[in-house]
Amino acid sequence: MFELIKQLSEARGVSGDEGEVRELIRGLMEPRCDRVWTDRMGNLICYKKGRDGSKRILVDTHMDEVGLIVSYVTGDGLLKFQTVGGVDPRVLIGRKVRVGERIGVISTKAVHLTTEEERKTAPDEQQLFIDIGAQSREEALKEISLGQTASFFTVCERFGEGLVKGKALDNRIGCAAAIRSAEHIPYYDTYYVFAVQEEVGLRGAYAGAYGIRPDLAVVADVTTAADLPGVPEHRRACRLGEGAVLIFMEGSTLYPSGSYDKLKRCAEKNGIRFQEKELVAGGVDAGAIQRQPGGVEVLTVELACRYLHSPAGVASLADAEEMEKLLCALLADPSLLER
Amino acid sequence: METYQLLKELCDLAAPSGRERSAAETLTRLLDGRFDRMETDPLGNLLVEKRAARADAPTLLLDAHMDEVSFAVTGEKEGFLTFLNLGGVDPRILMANEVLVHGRETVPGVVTCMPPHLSTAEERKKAPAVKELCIDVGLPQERVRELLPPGSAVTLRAELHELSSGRVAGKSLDNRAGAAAVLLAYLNVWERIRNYNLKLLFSVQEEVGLRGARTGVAAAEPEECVVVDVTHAYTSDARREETGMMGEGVMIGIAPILDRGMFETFRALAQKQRIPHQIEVMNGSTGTNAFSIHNYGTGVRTGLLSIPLKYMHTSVELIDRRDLRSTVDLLSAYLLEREGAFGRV
Repeated sequence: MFELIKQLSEARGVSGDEGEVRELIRGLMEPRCDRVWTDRMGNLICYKKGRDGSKRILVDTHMDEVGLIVSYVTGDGLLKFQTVGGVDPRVLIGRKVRVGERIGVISTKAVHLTTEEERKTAPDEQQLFIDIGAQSREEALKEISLGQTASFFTVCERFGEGLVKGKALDNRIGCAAAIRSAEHIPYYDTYYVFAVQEEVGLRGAYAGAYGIRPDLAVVADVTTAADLPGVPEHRRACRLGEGAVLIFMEGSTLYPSGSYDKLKRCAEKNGIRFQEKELVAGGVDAGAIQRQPGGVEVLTVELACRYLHSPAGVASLADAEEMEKLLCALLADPSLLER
Repeated sequence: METYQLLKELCDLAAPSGRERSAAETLTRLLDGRFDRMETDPLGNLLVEKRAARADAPTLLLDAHMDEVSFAVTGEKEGFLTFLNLGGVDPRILMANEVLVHGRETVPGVVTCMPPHLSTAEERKKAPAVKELCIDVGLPQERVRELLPPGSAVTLRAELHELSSGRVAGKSLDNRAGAAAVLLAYLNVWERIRNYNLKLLFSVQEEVGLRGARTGVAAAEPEECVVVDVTHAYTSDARREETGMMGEGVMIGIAPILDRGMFETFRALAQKQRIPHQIEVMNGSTGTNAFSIHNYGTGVRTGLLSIPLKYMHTSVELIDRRDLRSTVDLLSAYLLEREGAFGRV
C-alpha cells in the first residue's frame, strides 16, 4: 500500500492539468480492468466486469490535487500565481514547487525587511511569488508559460509510527484504495472514475457519472483531521488511526439515512474499523453524483488526514487499509442495491 | 571543487546553533590536512591555522559562522512537541513545514496547522506565533518522551536544489555559502602564504547573537580579520537601498565598525581584477560576526564580504553561484595582496 501511495502522491495533477497522474493510474488500471478510456473532460474511466451484469456501480475517486497556477511574470522574472483549490497562503512561503521542468521556491521578501505591521498579518497570495532563478521576464518565459500549474515538491515517505507524509494524499490515498480494490472481481459491473477538477468544485464528477448512469455510486476521498493539541475535542472532526471515516453529511451531500445505515452495516458485518466524522466540513464528489438526472444513491468512505491541502499531509496507512477493505466489501456485496 | 556539490554537502547537513559538530566534521574532511594546526574550542568553534615562515609574523583571520537558524524542543503535549525559536527563523514559513528533530534519534516532523476547512477567515489573516504551533512526529506519546526530550534541537528540513541560471535554493545557505567561500579561497592560496599566519574560524552560535566569534577571535589573536557572511538580495517587493542585486557580485561592506582601509583595498582589487562587486553600506553593527570581532583585545581591523541571498532564514534561501565565485575571487586576491604587503614590512 505504501509504495502505491508514494507513487501516486509524487505524481503531478493540479486541477485541470491531471495528465501526469492520469497516465500513471492508466498504467496501473489497464491490467486490472476490461476497458479503460478517458472522457472529454479528462476523467479516466475503467470498466471492470462483475458477476452480475444487470446493474452498474460507479466508484469515484478524484485524482486532482490543490496547487498553483502561474498568472503573470514580473519584470525581474518572478512568477505571480493564483491558488487552485482551497490552499491557505500561510502554508506556501518557503516551499518548493515544480513548474514545468523547473523547480521553483515560493517566497516574499525576507522577514528582516518587513515592517512591524507586515509581520503581524499573514501574507496573502498576492504578496507571494514563485522564484525559478530567472533574472528577467524574458528569461523566465523561456522556461515556463502563463497558465502552467505548479505542484508542491514533497517527498512522500513513511512517517512516525505507521503513518505516511506527502502532498496530495487528498485524494491519492482514495485512488490507491480504488486501484487495489480492482484486484478483485466485483459483484456488479463496476466503473471506476478517476475524476478531474474536484478541488475546484466537483467539476469532473458530473461528466464522469453522467455517461455511466450508475445504479449506485461509492465515493472514496480524504478528509480533514484536526486531532491536534489546542483544538477542542468537538472541533477535531476525526482522528488518525481510528479507521475509515463515515459521514452522515458533508458540505455538498446529505446522505439519506438508509444509505448511511447500509454503509455502517457493511463495515460492521465485515469487521472494518471505522469512525464517524464529528464535524461537517468540506465537500466531496458525492454531491455531484447524487444529483445526476434521476438521482443516484451515493455511499462515501473517507480517510482522516492532518494538514490537508498543504505540501505535507499526514495520514495513517492502517486507515488506508481499512478504506480499501470497506471499498472491497461494498463491491463484493450482492445486497448493496437493496433498499 | 565543484561548487554545487560543495554547497549541497554543506547545506544539507544539520548544524543548529550550539550543536555544530557535523558542520565542523565535514569542513575538517574537506580541508583534508591542508593546514599546520587545527583545534576545536569548548564552544565548538573550529580553528584552522596555516603558519607563517617566521615566528613574529602577523595573523590574518577569516571568519564564517557555520551554525544555522533552528528551534529547540521545550516539552510534549498529547504526543506533539512544543518548541521555541533559536535565532530568527521566519515564523511565516512554519505552518505545515517539514523539520528534523534531533533527540536520541533524528526524527522527521511536520509543524502543525489548522486546515482551511476548519479555520475562520479571520484566523487565516494572522501569522501564527511559534507558541501556538507544535511539531507532529507521528509517534505515540511514550516514544516521543523517550526519544525527544526537552532541549532536542530542531532544524528545517530541505535539500539544496539547482534552479535556472546557476542559482541554488535550500536551507542554511546562511552561512554555509560563506563557509564555502572561505574554504575555497583558502585552498586557492594557502600554499603561497608565507608572510603571515592565515587562520580560519568556522564559528558557532552566530544566529543566537554572534557568540562563538567572541571566543574564536580570542583564540586566534589576529591583527586583521575578514568576515564572510550573506546579505539580503533585492526582490521587487523589497527596497532597493536595503538590498544587493543577485548575480552582480560580492558585496563589499562599509560601516562605522569596519576598517576603511580594508574596504578601499577590496574595492581597488575588485576594480583592477574586474571582479564583479557591489558596495553594501550599513550604519551600525552589520548584524554579523564583525561586530563581535572588531573590538576584541586592542582592536582588530575588520572587513566584511557578503554574498547576496534571497529569502533569508527560510528553507528556500537562494543564491547565485556567480556571486559565490566573485566572493572567492576577491577573497583570494586579498589574501595574496596581504602576502605582498606583509612581506614588505
